[in-house]
Amino acid sequence: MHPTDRQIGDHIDRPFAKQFDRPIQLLDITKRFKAAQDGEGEITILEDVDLCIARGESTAIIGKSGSGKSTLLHIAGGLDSPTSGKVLCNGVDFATLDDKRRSSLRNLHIGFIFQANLLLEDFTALENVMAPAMIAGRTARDCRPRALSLLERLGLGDRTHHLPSQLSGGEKQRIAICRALMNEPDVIMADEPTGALDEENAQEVERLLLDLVKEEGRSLLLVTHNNDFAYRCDNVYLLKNHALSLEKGLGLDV
Amino acid sequence: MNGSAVVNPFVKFWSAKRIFKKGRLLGCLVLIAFVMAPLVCALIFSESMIAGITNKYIYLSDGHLQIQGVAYDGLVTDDAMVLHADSVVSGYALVYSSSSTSSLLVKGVSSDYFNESRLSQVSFETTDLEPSNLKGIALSRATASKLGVSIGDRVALMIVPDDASRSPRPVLVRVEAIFHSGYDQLDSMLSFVDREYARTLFTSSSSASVEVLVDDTYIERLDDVIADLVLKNEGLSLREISTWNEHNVSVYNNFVTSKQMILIILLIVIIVAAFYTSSVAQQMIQDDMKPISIAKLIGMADSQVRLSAFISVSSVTVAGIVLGIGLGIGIGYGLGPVLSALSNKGLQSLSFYLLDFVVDIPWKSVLLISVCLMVLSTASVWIALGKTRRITPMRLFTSL
Ligand SMILES: Nc1ncnc2c1ncn2[C@@H]1O[C@H](COP(=O)(O)OP(=O)(O)O)[C@@H](O)[C@H]1O
Ligand SMILES: [Mg+2]
Repeated sequence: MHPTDRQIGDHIDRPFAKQFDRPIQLLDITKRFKAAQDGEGEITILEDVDLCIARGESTAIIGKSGSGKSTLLHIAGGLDSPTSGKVLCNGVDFATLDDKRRSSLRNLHIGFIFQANLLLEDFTALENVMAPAMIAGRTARDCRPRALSLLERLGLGDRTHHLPSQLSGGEKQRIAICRALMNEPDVIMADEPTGALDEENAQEVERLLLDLVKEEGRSLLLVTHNNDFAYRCDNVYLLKNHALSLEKGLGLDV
Repeated sequence: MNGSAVVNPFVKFWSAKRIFKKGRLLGCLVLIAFVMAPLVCALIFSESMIAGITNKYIYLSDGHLQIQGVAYDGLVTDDAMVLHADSVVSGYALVYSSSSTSSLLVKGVSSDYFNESRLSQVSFETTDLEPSNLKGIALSRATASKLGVSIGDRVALMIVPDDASRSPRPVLVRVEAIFHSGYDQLDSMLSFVDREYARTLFTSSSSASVEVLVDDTYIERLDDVIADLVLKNEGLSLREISTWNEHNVSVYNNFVTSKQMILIILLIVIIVAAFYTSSVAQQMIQDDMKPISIAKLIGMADSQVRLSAFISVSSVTVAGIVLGIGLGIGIGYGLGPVLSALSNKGLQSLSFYLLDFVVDIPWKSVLLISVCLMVLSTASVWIALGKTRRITPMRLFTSL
């Protein structure tokens, strides 16, 4: 048995079938924010939104700035909770889990990439990439080979011992991609992953992300306002007036 | 679930990284060490000094045990328990010189009274004197300087008789030796004469007593020694035997109070130090807000974040305590000779202190304060770290 599967699998109770064909399901999601500090009135960002991410498929959300794309992604990733509705990760409702299990679920099944790279500044490239696996309970020695091969694959083979502060924006974003893929998660959630990069770097990162997600057989939930990037995904939804509409692909009924 | 048995690899890794990367934590280590060092030093000094003073009283004035009222020359003792039993005759006298007077306890002791253990507590100065038919007396350096006399000078002793029908009579004696124990408080009330001569000065039976010095291993078990003495010596009753502290209640109580005061001060300092470490912990999570949010984003549970921060701070605290103890002990040993040099200068303002003592590390008290500091600071750090719960990954998006 491969140590990866065994050790990650044994780390927590794992009632979620790895083969669940819809790793993320959003059911009837509504999200409202308080309009002001004093609590008077509310603004609605999402209203009765359903969304299904199919295994191995890529899904992009497009929409104007401020339309709620990031909010949707945070809710889908279990980072923020919806005002009403359910988010299922491999069939498990995030809302029913305690901190430990919710963290573990996120650790094992979701990889995040954000516009700001959000790397640990005191950790080297390699350590940043190994972090999710070590959090899952694997020793550094155990997970180093995969981390190195990911870094190699993204052209960072000679940057493994650099700190984020010693790396360019494009390099940091590629490290974030490695980190997101480290635990072989079901879904990669990327929020404007190329938003902070110049044209050339953006295209490079775009290509690498899409290629790797395909290669490794992961699902992708991509939030972007770059239509070219979005339309290279299998499904494209437009977020407008608090709701999603399918622009490309078949989508999936909830 | 068996996750709690071993510490998560990332928790360990992050803890270690923090310790070596964060200047603040090293500052904390140094500060704790610098708080601990003088505390340990103070503890060593006070306990050593008190032990030293106690020994002066025991060896020069009272013995571990004192048997009152009887001159037991043939006291039967267990050699394993009792090192020496010396019969002495003593009483109070006023001593006159041409310029001053002093009230003294005059102790009549035999020639073998000043054995090795007693001589380690006191030093004598003598010079060769012309033979004289005056009896000799040994005065302390403190008394001699108060009376303005030196070796060879004469002083008058005025004995207050036990028997009220007799009137006080003065006798002339010659200062034949000057002694110095290092503790002027005791020195200034003691003097020694020959025992047979003392018998002629103090005739009452209550003037006689036996001073018993006990083997080190029995010092904590004086009751056993007393029981053994009573068993072995017919006619000896418990009532006649008193211990050093019963005999010097007020001195002994002073020591007990000063030890307690020192411990209370130490505890207060420890509480302050614990507050300090908890504020270091708070500052640390304040500084680590972003990495903590990121770690939680990639799936670290709050309990793991808290444990990792806790390991960092508490290991630094423990290291600081250990370093501080080491430093304190080092300074303690180093200062011993300096103080004894000071003591030989005979400064008036220091006469209440014993400066010439053996530096002895009070392991029990050192252990007690380090355990207190460790427990209190780790507990307060653990509580302070409860704040990590409020740091969520969403912080990364709402406050950037
Ligand atoms: N914590 C919050 N409190 C109040 N309003 C918020 C909060 N987070 C986001 N919003 C608002 O929700 C809307 C959608 O934000 P966001 O999801 O970031 O949009 P997008 O990513 O599509 O640009 C914006 O108008 C934003 O101001
Ligand atoms: Mg956004």
